Amino acid sequence: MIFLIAALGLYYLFPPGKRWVVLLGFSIFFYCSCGVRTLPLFIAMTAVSYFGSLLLCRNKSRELFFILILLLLLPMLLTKTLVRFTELSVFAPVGVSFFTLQIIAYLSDVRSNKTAPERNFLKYLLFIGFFPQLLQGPIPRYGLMEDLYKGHTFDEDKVIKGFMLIAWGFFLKLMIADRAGIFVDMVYSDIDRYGGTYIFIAGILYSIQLYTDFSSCVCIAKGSGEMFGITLSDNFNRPYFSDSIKDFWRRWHISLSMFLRDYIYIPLGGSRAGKLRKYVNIMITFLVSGIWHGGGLNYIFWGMLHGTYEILQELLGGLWKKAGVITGFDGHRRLVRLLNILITGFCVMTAWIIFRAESLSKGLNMVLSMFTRVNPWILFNDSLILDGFEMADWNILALSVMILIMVSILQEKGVSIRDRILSYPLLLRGALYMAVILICVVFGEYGEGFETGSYIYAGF
Amino acid sequence: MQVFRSFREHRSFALRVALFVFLLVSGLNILSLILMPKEFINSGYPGTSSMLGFYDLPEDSLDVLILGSSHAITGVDTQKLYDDHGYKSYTLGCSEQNIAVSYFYLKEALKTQHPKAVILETLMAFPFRDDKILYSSAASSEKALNYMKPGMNRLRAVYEISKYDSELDPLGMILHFLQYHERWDNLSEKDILIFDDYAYLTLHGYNVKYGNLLKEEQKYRPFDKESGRTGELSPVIRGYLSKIVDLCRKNNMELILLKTPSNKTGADEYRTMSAFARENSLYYLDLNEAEAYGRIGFDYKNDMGNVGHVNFTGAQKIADRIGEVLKESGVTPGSPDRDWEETEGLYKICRENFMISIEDSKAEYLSMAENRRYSLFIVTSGEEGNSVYLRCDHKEVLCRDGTTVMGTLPGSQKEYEAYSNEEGMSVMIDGDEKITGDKKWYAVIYDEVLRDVFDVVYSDEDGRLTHM
Repeated sequence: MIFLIAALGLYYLFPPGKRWVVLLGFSIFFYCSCGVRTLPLFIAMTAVSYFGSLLLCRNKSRELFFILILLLLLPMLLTKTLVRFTELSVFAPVGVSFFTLQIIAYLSDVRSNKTAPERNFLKYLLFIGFFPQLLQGPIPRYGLMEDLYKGHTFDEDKVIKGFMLIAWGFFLKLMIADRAGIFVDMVYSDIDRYGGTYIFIAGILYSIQLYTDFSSCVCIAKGSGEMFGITLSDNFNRPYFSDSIKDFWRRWHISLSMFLRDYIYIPLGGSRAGKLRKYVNIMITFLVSGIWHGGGLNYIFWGMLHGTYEILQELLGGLWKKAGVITGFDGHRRLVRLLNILITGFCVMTAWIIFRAESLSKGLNMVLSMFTRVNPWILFNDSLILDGFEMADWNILALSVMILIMVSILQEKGVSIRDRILSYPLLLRGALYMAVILICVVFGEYGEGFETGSYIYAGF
Repeated sequence: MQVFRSFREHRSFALRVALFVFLLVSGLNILSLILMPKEFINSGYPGTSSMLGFYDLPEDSLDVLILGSSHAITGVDTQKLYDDHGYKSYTLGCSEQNIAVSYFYLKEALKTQHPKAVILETLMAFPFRDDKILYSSAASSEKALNYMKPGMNRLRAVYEISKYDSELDPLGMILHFLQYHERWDNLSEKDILIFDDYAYLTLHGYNVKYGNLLKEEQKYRPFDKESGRTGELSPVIRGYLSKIVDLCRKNNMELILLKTPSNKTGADEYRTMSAFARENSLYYLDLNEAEAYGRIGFDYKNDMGNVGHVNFTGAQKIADRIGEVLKESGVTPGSPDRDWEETEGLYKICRENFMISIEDSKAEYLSMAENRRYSLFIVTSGEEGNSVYLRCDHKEVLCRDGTTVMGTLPGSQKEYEAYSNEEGMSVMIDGDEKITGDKKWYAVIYDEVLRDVFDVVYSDEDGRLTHM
């Protein structure tokens, strides 16, 4: 927070034309504070892509493009496979998975003349390393980042709205993600003991944990950006309200989905070359998504599972509609949508169980256990109260998730919560901000034994 | 110019932000006070009351400052030192208080007080916990610094002490809500009492240790001053001791080293500390050394509350000897002070409680328990039949039908539950079971002023009492 306040103060004190220099300075400082030893490789990758973009502008040969892409993919692939398990991991650039995709998108856009290359290396460095989005995205496109250099004037409402988004980010992280994580970790650390319904509950909680953990970081990034007047793209659109897998990928990690669509799926031919080829392209796209998330087989399986879901959904879509007509459900659109949301949620949760597991075999065993070990009574006795996850934790988690659901429903209806709060009288607003902060401070899950600063997606 | 113009344009926003930050910091401060663990007069070693009470002293009112661990807190009767010798003394201590904390306490004390003498209890100059550089646990260091006022002394203390103890979290020690926020599901009435006068209830840092060792198989023999061998103090401890010596010299204060009677240190420690005292021309009084022990007429079984800590009578004897030493060292008592006069009442209460805590005749005990500030629970079983007798808040209840007697204790929100039936006997106060074992007669006494149970006894078949 001190860092952000200092950055904001200096930003608005500088002349508008030079404000981007403040952002660059703080971004480099931020990068160094995450690990100064990773800076050389980060600068090297930025320099290679910078000069590469200038070359691509003159020579659009496919060979040069692929050489550049391979060269730039190397650090990310090595980080995900070999380096992360060795002492060399200290040299792995922070946020490499995110800014590598950003660089690839940029080079591709330059090659296809969608954008002109940035001539100023320092401005380009800021584009790649802008601190709010460095660790976990959103993965920006060059066009969206132009306002990085604009030198925005101070806008009180934007600063307050940015602050609100940051506070909401902390609420998601401290009240939900890290608290749900305690139960999830307990179940995953002893899967022989915790089977059946425990896995089901852990699966639901992990789905919530992953979403709130990731979206909290995005909220903090977006909120920080807004305070500077810079709008970062949305990365989530209430994904667990999706009524199909296709819908889910339109709402979950949007910047990655867009990247995969624009730079993998469509270049492969998309849906233009027949159904079989379309399905192959879907599977390849999800395979890439799995590999991007990690080198383990469970990630690849998770990606392929989502690909299979999507293909099956397309193949069985007609059948599903017919079933609706036969059973008379088709007239109840709300009910059908709710059913679809539940089915989609269950499919996504099952995939997350495998995604979270230490290995593919363990993940598959857990899913199997969920269906074969029958112990639903744990929902009604004290079995879910574990040593380290007491009734009070369940109460706080349940209340916090209810708030999240209420906020999501309002947002789904098109209500802008922040605009509404902004319209409240000053005293009420102040009390609300204060309450959120104090509630997070007291009831939030952080401190000894917790690494609040570490986000799940920062590890991908 | 741009800066000033920009500020003028957004002055109202800046003011609102400043007000919000001020209110937020105040809110966090109140939260910290509620969340921090507390040790008031009803605790074994009431570090919280001791620190709060110290800040509450009239400025420049102190003649003698006593520093040290629990041995110092229970070891020197500050009221006796005032009543019989005229010295206005205060013990700044907490359990396992290491020498570094004592140094920073001294620095902090000098901001408002200018005592003529400083007495440093030396238990923590020697290994108490072998795995710790400062010999004290991380928890005790945290507790020691929790209620020190914010300022450079506390910052410096946190910085230096956490350097020697990797278990400590310096940020959490400064921003307490970070460290103690998980206590939210463990809060009780005690945590709100921080805003009550009760939090300041202290006998100038002295805490009476109840009971004695008459019924215990404890062996103790003071050592001969010629026995043992001179060892080395650890460099870190020596460093902080030297800093204390320098600070005392600089402020023209007499420094006296003290070791209260206990089985925790012996002849080797005596020789080592004597060498340090000689080097620095300090007075060193080790009351475990046979001559000094004999001189005060100390009786280990009568004058100890447990094996490490002296009880009320022991602390009186030590206070008398300290009074003599101070006089011999040329430290003159200052003028009488209302603050020390006012604690006479509390001192009397503690003395009465102590007398009860060592009484072993049932008849005498019950007569002493007649005091109106006590709530008395007697539960019986066996031949006398199952019964619960309760005298509380000017009411008497005798229950022989095995049902549970419930209510709230006077002076606090603590709830009690007591029963005696075929299933067993219980006296539960504030969720804590006070009686254990399978005896036929138990008594529990709660003190309304101290707001806690201070004595639990059971009766043997011969009618003699044993204090638990």
